[in-house]
Amino acid sequence: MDQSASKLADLVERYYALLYRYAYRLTGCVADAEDLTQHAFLTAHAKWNQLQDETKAKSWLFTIARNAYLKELRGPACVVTATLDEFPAPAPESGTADFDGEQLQNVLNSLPEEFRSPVILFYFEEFSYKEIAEQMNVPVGTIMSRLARAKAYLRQRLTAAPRPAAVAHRRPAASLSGSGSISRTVPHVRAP
Amino acid sequence: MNCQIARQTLELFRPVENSAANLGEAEQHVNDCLDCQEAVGVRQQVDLRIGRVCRDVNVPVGLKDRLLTELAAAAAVETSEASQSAALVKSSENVVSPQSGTSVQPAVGTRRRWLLRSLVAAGVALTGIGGAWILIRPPAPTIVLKDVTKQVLESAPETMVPFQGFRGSVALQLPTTMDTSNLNGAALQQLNARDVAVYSFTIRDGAGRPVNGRLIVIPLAAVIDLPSTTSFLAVQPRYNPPYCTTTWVEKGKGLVYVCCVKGDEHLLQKLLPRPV
Repeated sequence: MDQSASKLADLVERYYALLYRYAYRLTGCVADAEDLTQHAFLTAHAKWNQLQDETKAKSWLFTIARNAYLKELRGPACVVTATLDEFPAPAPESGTADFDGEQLQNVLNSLPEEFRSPVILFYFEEFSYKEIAEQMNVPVGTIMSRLARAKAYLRQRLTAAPRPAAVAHRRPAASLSGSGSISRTVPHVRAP
Repeated sequence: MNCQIARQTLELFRPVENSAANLGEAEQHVNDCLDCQEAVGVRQQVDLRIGRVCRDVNVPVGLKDRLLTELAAAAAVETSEASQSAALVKSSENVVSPQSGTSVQPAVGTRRRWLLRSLVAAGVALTGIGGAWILIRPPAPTIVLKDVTKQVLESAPETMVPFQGFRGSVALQLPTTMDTSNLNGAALQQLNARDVAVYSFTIRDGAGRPVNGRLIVIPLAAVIDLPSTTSFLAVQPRYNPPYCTTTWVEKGKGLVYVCCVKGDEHLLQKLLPRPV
């Protein structure tokens, strides 16, 4: 037990900031992000024996955090349904990249989680496609497809659209899924 | 390769991953297509900006310390629970519900188990002590001295075997207060399930006729009615016609001696030690 506690403390040293940033971009809330980070490390502590390959500890931590977010933080009250019809038409790849963190967070919040998580992890430049796919428990091809669509969506919202209003992020976002309706979260957003 | 495929191919290319199979062809297309050059350039700038902003999240001050504190507290609780659980398991092992397979009321089970174990231990101890007592206890005395003379003198000599020694730590020793020069070899005889050594001897009466007699040596513990005399003929011999018998105990030998002849006490006096 002392050895695992020591290794976990080492993981805290190395990844707590990265995990917190991911949690913040995932939840859009400082308090929720801190809770999620703490929850992830405590879960890792409790389930340390389930970690078979310590070289994958970072991915394991991020998977725990995402699962905890999906299970604990995403309550039924936050789930809204959007349809494919609400997805805006693609904007031309032009314009200026003048946006801040809050604007980015607003756009991220409007993404369904299955698009939000991989695109956050992609822009963090910490994980390969394969590792992202393993965390999401989907094939690599699915991840690459979601990434392509999510990146296009971000670019379109952050370059073509005018500066969003303060409450814009609360509007249900359009679905990026292929067809039909999806469920997604609309978390409360606070400034980091 | 058209513009759409070229841009899609470059979209997901990452230098660290060989994920674009037709990268060379796509790059060639972009080099030859001004629209794609502009679009890909804008896209790269926006992606760089998104990446920088996405990673630019202020981490709360003291978060690391709080995490380490929480983990230390969790580890302490786990250690405490583990030690308590180990103690509980140790105290309640084998106290398992046959139906559920789970521990039932460890405190009650512990008391019952302690009581059961105590009873079993006491039983085992008593059994052991009793067994040991049976093995090591001295046999109860069974020989009555007043009957010895008749029993020995009436037994057939051919039934006796040479005496090898008493069982236990008692050694066969001849009396010092009696003349033993006439004694023949000792024979073993069983009296009331106890071994005794029987010496035969022959003395002459006043008329010179031979008179047979016996010296019987008996372990002290085998005798019920121990004599109070400590030497041969210290007291008046007991005369039960036709036998005259004297019994005594010699100090330090742990033996009772019985000397008997078929006659009166005058014959026994012939067995007094001769002066040196």
